[in-house]
Amino acid sequence: MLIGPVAAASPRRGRAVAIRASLALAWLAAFSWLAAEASAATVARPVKDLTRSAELVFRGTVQKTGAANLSLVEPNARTAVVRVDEVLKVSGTFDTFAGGEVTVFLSEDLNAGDQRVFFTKVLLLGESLGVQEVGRAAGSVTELKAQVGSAKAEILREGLAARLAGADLVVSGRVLSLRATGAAAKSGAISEHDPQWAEAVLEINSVLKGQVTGKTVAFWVPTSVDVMWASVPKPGLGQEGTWLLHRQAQEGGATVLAVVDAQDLLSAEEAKVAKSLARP
Amino acid sequence: MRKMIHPIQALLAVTFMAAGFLALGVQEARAIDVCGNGICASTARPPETCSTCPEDCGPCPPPPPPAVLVVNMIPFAQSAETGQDSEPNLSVNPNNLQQIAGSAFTTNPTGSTTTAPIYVSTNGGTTWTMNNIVPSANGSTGDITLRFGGTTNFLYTGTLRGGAGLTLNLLRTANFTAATTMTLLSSRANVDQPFVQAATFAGADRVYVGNNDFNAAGGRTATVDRTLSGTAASPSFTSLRIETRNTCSQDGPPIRPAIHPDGTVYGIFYRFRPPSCSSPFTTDVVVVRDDNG
Repeated sequence: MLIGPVAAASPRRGRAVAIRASLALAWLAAFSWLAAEASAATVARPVKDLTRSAELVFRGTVQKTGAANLSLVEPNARTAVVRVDEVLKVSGTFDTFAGGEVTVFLSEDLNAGDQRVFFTKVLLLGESLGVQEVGRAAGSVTELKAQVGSAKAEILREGLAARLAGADLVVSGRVLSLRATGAAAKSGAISEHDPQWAEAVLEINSVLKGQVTGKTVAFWVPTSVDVMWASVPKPGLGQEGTWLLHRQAQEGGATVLAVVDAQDLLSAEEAKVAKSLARP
Repeated sequence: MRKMIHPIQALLAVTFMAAGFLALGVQEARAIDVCGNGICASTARPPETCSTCPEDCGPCPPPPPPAVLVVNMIPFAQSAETGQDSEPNLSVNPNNLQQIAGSAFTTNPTGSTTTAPIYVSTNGGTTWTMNNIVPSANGSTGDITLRFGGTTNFLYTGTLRGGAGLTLNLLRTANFTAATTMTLLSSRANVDQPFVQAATFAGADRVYVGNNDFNAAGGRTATVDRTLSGTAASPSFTSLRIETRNTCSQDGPPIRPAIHPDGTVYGIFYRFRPPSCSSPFTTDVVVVRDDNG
């Protein structure tokens, strides 16, 4: 297009061109801002996603490439022995080998001496750990450490919010009494997996979700330590805590409140966060 | 001048000394020794010498290996764990005796809720590694047993999916040391205590899974799920009801198959026998056989 000479020939057209140019500049500025935002979001999101999907996040130093310190692992170009310098996130209960060395299945090549923040899933637990990188994030180690810290707090809140949303009633209080119900298993079948339901009565301190009439609430708990129920919390007389209760249909159609999951008793840290989430 | 000792005095002295030794618990220092026990004992009776007993005069040989080697299957990385790990099960690969797979009611220590572990050894059980390859809904195994095929190196597992009640999952992996989640071959609800057996015939794995199937009509719940082509891409399982008589609404929980090398298959189970259908049940121990596998 021959905009320049034509525009110069007509003041009216010149104004139009000036407006178009201004609009173009504004559009460019807006585009640049959006692009920058999008870029920032792209950097920020993966760290949170990676932190969420990783079971072990650590700052580490590559000791040796093409190597492994697990007898089960055949070393290859994408395995490396990495020293765990600092654990940034760990889920579960396994030994993180902090200060020691683990085998990393690399997502991309690295060299001995490289320092990185590793986002990993734990595949093998033997003489050491065998961990698989779930991805890498851009940024310096210092920046990533800070981002992982923020992501962990967000993930905790989101996870807890989802658990609270899945519960019918969330109450904190003290267990006043426990008694066996004698109720049959829901399936009616004779099996070692019978939950052996007991009824607990809780003196309520506060209600975080749902409505209760009165100062106490009764709920069922599986007392069985069979594999199907062993991890579900078993309240003791006088125990204080915050409980996530779920409505459950029992044999015969009656509906009761019950704890059915290993996470239905909140830790002290979770209870604090839950209270802040419950605030209007 | 020599002092004479009267024989009675001598007898009294010897008797006194012997009584003293007995009272003090002192025993004969020299014991009868055995040539070849690695102990060169000059105080032995007869005394051992390098000429009479050369095998006992060098350095002592190392102690013989224990008849039973005790190994903690919980890997080093998990040695502080305190889980139940109950109802363990073990399978040695007939095609490679160094390969052993173990299972128990174990929770994935990583906190993952989508997989649960089996125990893996590739050195005859000397060391063990947890491999989180069993699909799960809560990170734990439910009822679980496992078997290698005869010569195929495939590992089969029958399990109640953790966190999914009485949901039977039949699983398979071609490489039990790989970190790939086991392949789901078959699944259905309302089943208890899967117990798997497998063997290779004419290059194909026959897999039998005893289970208490509460879906069975008439309370004849003792069941064996069978495939004659376990190594096929999508093996088809058939539920064979091995209970032929009436029961007290169900059979007892354990239904266990066994495979003879000639292909004959046996099953054993408890039949809860009517009419006295209350605990404690009157029970028949029933053994069944299929000559055709």
